[in-house]
Amino acid sequence: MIRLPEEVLFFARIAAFGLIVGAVYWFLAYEPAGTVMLLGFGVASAVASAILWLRSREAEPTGDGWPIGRDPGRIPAPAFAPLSIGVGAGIVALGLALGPLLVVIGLAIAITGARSWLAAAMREADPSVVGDEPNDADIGRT
Amino acid sequence: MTTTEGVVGTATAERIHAPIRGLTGWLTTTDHKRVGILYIATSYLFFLFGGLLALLLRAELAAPGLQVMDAQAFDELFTIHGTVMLLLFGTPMGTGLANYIVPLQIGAPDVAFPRLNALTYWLFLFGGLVVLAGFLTAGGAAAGGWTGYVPLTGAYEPGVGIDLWIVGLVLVGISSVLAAVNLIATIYALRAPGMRMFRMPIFTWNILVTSLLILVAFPPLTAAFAMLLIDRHLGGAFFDPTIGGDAILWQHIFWFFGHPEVYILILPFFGVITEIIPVFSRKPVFGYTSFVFATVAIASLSMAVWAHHMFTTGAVNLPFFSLMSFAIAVPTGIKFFNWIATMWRGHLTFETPMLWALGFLYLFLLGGITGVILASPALDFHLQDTYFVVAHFHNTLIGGTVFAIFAATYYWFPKITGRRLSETLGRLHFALWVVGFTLTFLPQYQLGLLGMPRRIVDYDAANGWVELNALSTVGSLVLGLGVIPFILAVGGALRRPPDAPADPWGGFTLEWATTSPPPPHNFTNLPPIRSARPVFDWRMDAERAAGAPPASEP
Repeated sequence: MIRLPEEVLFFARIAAFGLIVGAVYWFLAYEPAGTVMLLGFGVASAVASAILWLRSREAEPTGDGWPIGRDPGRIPAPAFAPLSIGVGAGIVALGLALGPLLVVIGLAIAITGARSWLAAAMREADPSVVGDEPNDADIGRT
Repeated sequence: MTTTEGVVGTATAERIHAPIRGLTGWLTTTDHKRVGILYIATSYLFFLFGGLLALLLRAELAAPGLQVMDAQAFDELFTIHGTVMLLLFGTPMGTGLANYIVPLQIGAPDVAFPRLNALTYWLFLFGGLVVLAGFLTAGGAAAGGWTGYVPLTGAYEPGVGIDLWIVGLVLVGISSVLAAVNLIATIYALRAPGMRMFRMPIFTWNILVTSLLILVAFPPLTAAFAMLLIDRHLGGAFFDPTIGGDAILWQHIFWFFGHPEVYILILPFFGVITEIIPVFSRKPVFGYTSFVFATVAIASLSMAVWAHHMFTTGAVNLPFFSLMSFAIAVPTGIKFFNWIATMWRGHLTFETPMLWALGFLYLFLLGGITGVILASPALDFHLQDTYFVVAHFHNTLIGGTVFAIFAATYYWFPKITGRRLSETLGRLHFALWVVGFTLTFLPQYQLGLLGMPRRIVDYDAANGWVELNALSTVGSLVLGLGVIPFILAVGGALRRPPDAPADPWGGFTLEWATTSPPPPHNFTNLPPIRSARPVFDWRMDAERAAGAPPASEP
């Protein structure tokens, strides 16, 4: 018998609830919007559960029974990129209500931030880069 | 004493960046603790703003015939008051506390995606400001109620305020979903060795469950907002019955978000209360596993009760939604039983966090019971859209969420800042809020039973609602005054140098194993994790090693 980790069971139980209640609701109410949302909730949880189960089988077993994760990797340096994207998104939102010029300005700011974010993430993924050098470069770039 | 030195500390310390000082440091931070503080501080500012709006609303209703504001302004104020309190205060406050506390409780150096974490804060802040920007427009802010019912927000309602409300809340929704993904990934992937799922603190469990609810509940809302914008500006017909749409569809989608949102607002704070009561009872939590499963049960059931807000539409299955709504009382009752059993024969002490926790138990119970009343269709048909409903949800959201937020603030303030809040001011704050809350909202139950509808700007003196409304307004003033000792306590504490020890309360969970405030990498040493109370175990080991008889548990 397969013994599933609690991490997998957590999503599996919720998936079972969503799918069963969604089916019961359909036959009681024949109401499509609620049925779709309940079944979607169940299917999404089932997919999460299945992915976690498959990933946990591929990973090295540990004494704790849950092998995924643990190493936080490189912790990112302080950066203006999140602020830049946040400001850009806020201006885009204003533009959707007030006028297209603001949308263009907001997009430009957000894209600048996203580029900086991507560059920093690629540096961090490169094992040949060590130390804190990306910090200042990242801040200076935005 | 044995510690797991280096597992989280030295191994990752090389990869931790020194914090940048000053404003630049706050603007560029990706440290979960700083992001958490930003969330908490911003949420409190929104709370003060939303509270000010509430005082203005109560001033208008203090007596019949008053004209503190006109009807349009009244509609705008109750719309933005509800929006601010639910989506810009309660929800992000839970995210802020989770940001700060969860990595500490699971022994992690940061969240799984620190930069994404910072982005969620900025999206929340700017989304909130976009919502409030409606007040600066010629037509005023959104005025369709926080539920945004069509046609009150539909194509026939002009005004930029509604559009700003919609797009601002889309940003807030995206922020919430990204934050939920981050917290789930953190809890799943970054737990310290030995921290199994059933050794996680209950607060962390509740954040995990709440994050899952956010993932399920917020995307339908975002989709509904997109559909509403299409209806308003691109000639869409999703919600307009005159051209083939369905106004009830908005209610279905909104409440598929809206009812889980109520649990998104309360589940993190059930976790807070479950952290505080054992510590101030000097006992382990009673029924750890049943707490976890009760939380999962509440969250699951909360996904299947949305249409109890729609009983009077005549378009929903009354027995199904009534039964599911009643069923939520069972796991909630289990939690109450466990909280009381945890205190039973404990060595109780009544510091300020515990007072707020006890206030929560009393007031949230009233809110829960009146919720069961409203879950009965026969009674709901009578009470729908009256002040009984207003009193009920304020009973759950102030008596529940806000009381627990204050409990959490007094409990974790020393950990976050290294300073304790004044006990005297804290007790005054608590006393004023218990009295103010009772005066404000108990009369509203009676007003509802007498038939006073919600969302009315004025009323006739002949209806017999005058005295109860006056009492309610006096109570709201007491609540407003009650915030002053809290502000003084925070201001006074922040002026003092940090002097709080690592563990001022005798806590059980890992956040108390590090300094107050914690270093950038959170831990230098981690105690071994053999149970759900690693710091308690650590303390016992230390006392045994020192030759002293370990303090016995009651």
